Amino acid sequence: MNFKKNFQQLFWVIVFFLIVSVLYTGALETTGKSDNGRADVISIQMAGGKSQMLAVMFLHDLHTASLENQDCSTCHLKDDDKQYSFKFMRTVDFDYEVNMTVYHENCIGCHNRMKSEGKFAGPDTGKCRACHNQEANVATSWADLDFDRSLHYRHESAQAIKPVSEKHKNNCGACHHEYDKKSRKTVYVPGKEGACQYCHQDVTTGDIRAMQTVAHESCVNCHLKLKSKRVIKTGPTECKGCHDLELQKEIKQVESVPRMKRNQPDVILMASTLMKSMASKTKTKATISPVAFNHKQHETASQSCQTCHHASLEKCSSCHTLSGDKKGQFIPLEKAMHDTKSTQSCVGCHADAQTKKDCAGCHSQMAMTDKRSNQCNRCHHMDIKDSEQLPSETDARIRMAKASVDNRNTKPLIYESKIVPEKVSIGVMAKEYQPADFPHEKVVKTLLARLNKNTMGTYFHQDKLVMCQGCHHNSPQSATPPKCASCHGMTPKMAADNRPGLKGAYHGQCIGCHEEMGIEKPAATACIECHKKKQ
Amino acid sequence: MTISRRKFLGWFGGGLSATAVSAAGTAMAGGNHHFEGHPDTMGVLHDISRCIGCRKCEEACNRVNELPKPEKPFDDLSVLDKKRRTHASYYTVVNRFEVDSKPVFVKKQCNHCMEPACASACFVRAFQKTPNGPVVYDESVCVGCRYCMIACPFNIPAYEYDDALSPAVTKCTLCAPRIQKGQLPGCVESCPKEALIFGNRKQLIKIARERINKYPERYIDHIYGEHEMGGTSWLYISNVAFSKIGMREDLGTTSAPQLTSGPLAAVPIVVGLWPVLLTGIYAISQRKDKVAAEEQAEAVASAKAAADEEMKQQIAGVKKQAAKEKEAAIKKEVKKALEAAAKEAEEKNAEAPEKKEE
Repeated sequence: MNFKKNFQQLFWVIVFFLIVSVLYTGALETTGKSDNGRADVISIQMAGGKSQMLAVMFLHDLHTASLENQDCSTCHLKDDDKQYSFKFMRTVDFDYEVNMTVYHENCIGCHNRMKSEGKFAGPDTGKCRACHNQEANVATSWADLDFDRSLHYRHESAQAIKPVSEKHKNNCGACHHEYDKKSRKTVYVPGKEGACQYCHQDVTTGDIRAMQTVAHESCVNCHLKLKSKRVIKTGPTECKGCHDLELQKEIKQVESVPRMKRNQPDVILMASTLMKSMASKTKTKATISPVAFNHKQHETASQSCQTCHHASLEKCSSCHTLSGDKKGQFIPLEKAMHDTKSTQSCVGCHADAQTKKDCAGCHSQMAMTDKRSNQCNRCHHMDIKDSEQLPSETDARIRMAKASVDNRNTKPLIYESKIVPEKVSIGVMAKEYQPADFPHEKVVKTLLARLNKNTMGTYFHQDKLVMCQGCHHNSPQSATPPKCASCHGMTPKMAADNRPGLKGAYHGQCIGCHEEMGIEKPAATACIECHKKKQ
Repeated sequence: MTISRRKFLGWFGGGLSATAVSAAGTAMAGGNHHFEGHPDTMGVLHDISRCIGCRKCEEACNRVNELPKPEKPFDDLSVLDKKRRTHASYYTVVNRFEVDSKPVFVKKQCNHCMEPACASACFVRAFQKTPNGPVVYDESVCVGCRYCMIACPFNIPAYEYDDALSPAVTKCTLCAPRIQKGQLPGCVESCPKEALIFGNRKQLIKIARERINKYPERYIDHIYGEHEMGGTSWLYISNVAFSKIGMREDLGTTSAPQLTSGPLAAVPIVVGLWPVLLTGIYAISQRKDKVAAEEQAEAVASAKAAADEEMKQQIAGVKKQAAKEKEAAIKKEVKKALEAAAKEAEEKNAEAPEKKEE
């Protein structure tokens, strides 16, 4: 009797223990608050110490929300120019021990103060790992802010941002500056404005402070100042306002941004080798036709100037010389212009454009490593045969380039019906299914319509036989291309190379194109939508 | 046993390390040996980015192997809503995975490993790796222990649980009879997208490499099956990470037989060596005892003999002494008696004379 009672007790104790342990471990695993995460996680780790503790994952917006009047001076001191220094409770960094003391005294001191006032506060002395919790999985939704042309224009046109002095009509000097070494001060030099990142890199080097430091100092301080002046529309003062991935999508986009006024040319004649010969007064033949570059059109096609002018606003060939130079990371001019993998190069950006749905049907099936050499003259077509034909004045060169650009035909392509067959019956492998009635003309018309949406598409396919090569590939351009079966034999017994057999070629080409272009009908698995079944 | 604990542990440890060294020696010999596969082994390359989940491969497999028709026909794509595994009459299945909200389809079947775990686990050699590539199954010798199902790292062999009398293990055969005749495996032949291609395994690896190099933004830079579990005949290239489409990436590159070859090779050594060793130790300790016992007996005997001898001597001495004493005593008594007699006689004489005198 006694034994049974003990056993029952033990049983329930074990059950209780199991339930509690499951709940306990379950609770431990749900660390993330929302799916999206937060954008205000700052990792604080002092350099130069023994670093026995993990970094502190400080949640900034959480703390600003707890401040009643959101006054930054609770934690941040103002420097001589009445600007907030966004270091914590100091304007300069001290050594390791002092820095650590600053943090501990102020953080924990504030927590204790809040607690004594009866409010909810953070961890106390002794609860070290409540703050030093680098390994806790706090999902972050932090993203770099893309200061694109739209955002720049909003600042440019903002009435609240005043010009630096009366003699300037524009407010560029409010942000743009150059560093005068003699006076050791930043001064506004009109006409020399560039992107912040041209000088301010990821880390502080010498006198040039890191981008993170200066961006917050300049941007957030200005936003705070305007906020205190009760300006209605001012920029964010919290981390998430600029850096949260979701909130970034809500930043207002200006529809058609007026062109930035930085004295940039409309059209540029790119002929760096010939220019060099001209400067040294030697006559050299042009080994390749110079390029007439439509700078004005490309300004609207890119996110910001920095897309192409990634290190400075000078011309590309000043750093990327013909054979490569240290300034250009030893990347020669040819690679800088034609690298298919980089979005900073001409061909790379064009290649990236081919991944759009309207283009991907044909282009995804072409290997990017192919250099389609018959397309060089789409850019290289200025009729200059040697350096003597090159005008010596800049204006004259620009006029010449402009004439070449204006001469380009970007009208939508039209194919005459007679060239393209209306329907093609593909029955060479018909076994289970009847021959496929391929609506050739309809397909070509659809492709053309989608291609003509884009001037780049129209321009690069001006030669009408080029688009045919999308499907009629690996053969000379022709209005009567060879049959698919000429090169793709019936399914091979043993795979010898990457060339598919006829069945794989048809299905791969057709279904691949439909999938990439987002065409839902005919569905890939709906066989009878392309060829009916044989009875 | 009079062997000390220290000595026993010493012998035991010595025996153990000897075994370990010899076993390690065998394993090392297996470790350095890297089996590249039979030279003409065939394989299949599955390009996951091409699969559209039409299930024509499943239908062809069913037809070519004369398997029973399933409940839902092969053009019913709603079966892809659930993940399936290989089954008694399904040598191969296609599964759908959602990766980045796009559907990805993967075909699953026996991978025909270069050094199969199933063949290694089967103690009746029902599974055999043919030099041509396929891992074939001989139903006639199978005992139905299903060790192969446990051994397979990909969980492929299925069992005919419904068959009460003679259930068999079922799995893809790489259409071994068909490829002998120079035909393609059923699934390869029927795939409309050429997501499956059949050929020499080494050539397929080259083709896969070429394809990955040509479209680096499309493919993950890894040929699954090139080295996994020592290499498989079925190779995969994919546009999404393999771990997201149900393919294990934690298998390592050592084949299953190689993982077990070390301990298995140690078994005969252990069985052969240890009894001899331990018997020897036992015999030695027994012999020592025996010798000790003999010596003891001898010592006892000699001591006893010496004691006997001494006793004999003592007795002899004592006897002599006793005899001497007896003799002395007799002499004394005799003398005494003589004296007494003499005295008596004297007395008699003394009396007698008096009488006489009368």
